[in-house]
Amino acid sequence: MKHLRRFTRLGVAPRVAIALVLAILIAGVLERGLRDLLPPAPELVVQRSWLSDAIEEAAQTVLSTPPAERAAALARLDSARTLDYRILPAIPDEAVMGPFRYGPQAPQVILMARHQGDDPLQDALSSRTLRNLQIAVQLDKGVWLIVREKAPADMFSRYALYLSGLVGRILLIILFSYAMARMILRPLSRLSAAAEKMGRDREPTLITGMSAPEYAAIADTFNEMQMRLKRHVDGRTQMLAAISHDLRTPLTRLRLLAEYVPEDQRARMLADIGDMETMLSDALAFAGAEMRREPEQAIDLAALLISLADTFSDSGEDVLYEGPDHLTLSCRPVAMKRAFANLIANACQYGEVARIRLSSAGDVAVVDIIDHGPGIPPAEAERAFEPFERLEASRSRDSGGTGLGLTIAREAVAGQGGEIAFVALPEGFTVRVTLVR
Amino acid sequence: MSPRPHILVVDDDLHIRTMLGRFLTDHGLSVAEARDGREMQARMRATRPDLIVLDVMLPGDDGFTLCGRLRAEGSLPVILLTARGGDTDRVVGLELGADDYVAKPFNPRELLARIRAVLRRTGQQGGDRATRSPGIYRFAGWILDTGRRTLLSPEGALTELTSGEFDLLAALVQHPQSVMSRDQLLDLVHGRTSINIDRSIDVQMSRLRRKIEANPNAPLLIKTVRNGGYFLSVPVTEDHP
Repeated sequence: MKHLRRFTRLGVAPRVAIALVLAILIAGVLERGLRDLLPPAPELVVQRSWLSDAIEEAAQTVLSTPPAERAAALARLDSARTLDYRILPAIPDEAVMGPFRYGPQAPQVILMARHQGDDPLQDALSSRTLRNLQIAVQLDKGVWLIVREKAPADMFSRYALYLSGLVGRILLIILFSYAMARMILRPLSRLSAAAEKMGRDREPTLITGMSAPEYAAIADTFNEMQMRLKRHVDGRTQMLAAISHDLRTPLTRLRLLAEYVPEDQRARMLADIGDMETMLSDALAFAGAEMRREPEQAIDLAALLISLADTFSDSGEDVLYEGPDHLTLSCRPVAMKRAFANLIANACQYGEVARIRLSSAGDVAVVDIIDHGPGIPPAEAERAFEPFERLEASRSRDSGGTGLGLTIAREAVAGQGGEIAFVALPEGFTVRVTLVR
Repeated sequence: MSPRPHILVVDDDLHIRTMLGRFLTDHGLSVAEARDGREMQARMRATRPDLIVLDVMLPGDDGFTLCGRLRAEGSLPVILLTARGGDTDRVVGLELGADDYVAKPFNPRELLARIRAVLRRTGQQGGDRATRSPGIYRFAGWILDTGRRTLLSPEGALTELTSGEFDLLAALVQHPQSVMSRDQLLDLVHGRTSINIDRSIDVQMSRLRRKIEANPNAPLLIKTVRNGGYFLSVPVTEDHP
């Protein structure tokens, strides 16, 4: 058990090394273990010692069996799978290319090339196969053992079997190597999943239980980074909350004071106070204090949009809703309401009107917010979503606001796995929000 | 009730206290001021206020504590002021028995409207506090939570209502199966509604029906009484947390 634990604490480099060694060992064991199951190579590669052993065994068999049973006994030999043994009274009537003595006491052995050529015997001998060679061994007077490669009856199926055996072995090794590599690399995917979650939810996912020291070190660093990031974000949120809290008292005083300034100045003063309040709540929403703590809940998206449209039109804006009366969707209700309120306010401010159109297909809901303004050119679309960015070139300068509206809307929609994009429809400039139900 | 209702403003910020005092005095109320809980008790012994405007963030005992104590002692109406605009504060405040809740920075005219609405309610129907304290009302599968100001559909979906629609529905649900005239509804709704919204009850009603009726043209939940008003035609069960 202790040894096992020591193994699990091994570093990545030794793990890779062990995996490689194991892969090679397994390949070898497979090779050996499967040799009997797998067909031999179609081209017999001959080892001299094996060949001489095989021939000697065949010769002994012939000498120790009565003549009538010799053919059957030879066929039972292991080597008969690849070698063709014949017993003839004389050397076959083929070109005898020369005698070759095999050992001093051995009977006469004659090598014969099976094909003609410039130097057929040399060709046959230099080849590592038996294909072009016949060996004749004189066992007794008028008893010649003729050995040659067994003519394969079904060349094609032998090739196919051999190849499939080869491919099978390679596949097995690939599978094994893949499993080992996966085992080594799996912790990294946990790391990337945690990083992804951190980016999306700003909530740290601590990574524990990494056994390899390199991974444990990475996990520690990563955890520390997450905690630092969280402290940073929390600090920023708290600071914004504190500032906005402290600002509410002077703003309340200003509102009271506004009741006692002359009528013509009061409206402007109230508008300024309103702007400051909007900026405060925008900044708070951006810091995400409320948004991320809010749990998901099923809401009637249609009712939300209708309420927003009515509230805006009651305050004198030209806002209309078009779509079903009900559409249920799971989301963070306050964040979603803020997102759509921002988008509708933008449309009213820069595009004079807002037409809200809700439609759904399958489990996707699409909200189009169409205005009559100049819109945002595609080249500036990405910049428009940046925090504190205001596209003043195309939009009026004294429009107020913090430049956080679109950023907040996108954060809320993206937090839901949705998308927000600008589309140029014939009816006018359109902000399209796509949400998954 | 005296012709000039007497209001006690409790806030630790001198400027807000004095300016609010002046504003309310200018609008026909008589105002006393207190800096904290101790001063509040002293002022209450000296004069008998009709309503207390109470800041939540006070040195010493905070507004919630004071509100709870006031409620234990009697039924003096309280409107809470707080710098926080969160949902939790409103629920806590209303559960402690505050009659209304205004988040800072508030619009002074809205506060005035709410003070008048609370005075009107408590003046007319002294013992009717139960209908104002937050509750959870169930009707035909719908769940209306007047503390959190939320409405859940029979399918469990949060259904957004404008504040006017919410108050209208709350008024009908709190008086089930009794006909409410347009004037009565206007009176109950107006207290909370932001003052620049002055839509007629009928417009609000048609919007509300679009959200809660299966077929807004043939309403089943809220029925119209010709020349009379509206009534909720289904039974309501009521929980008070």
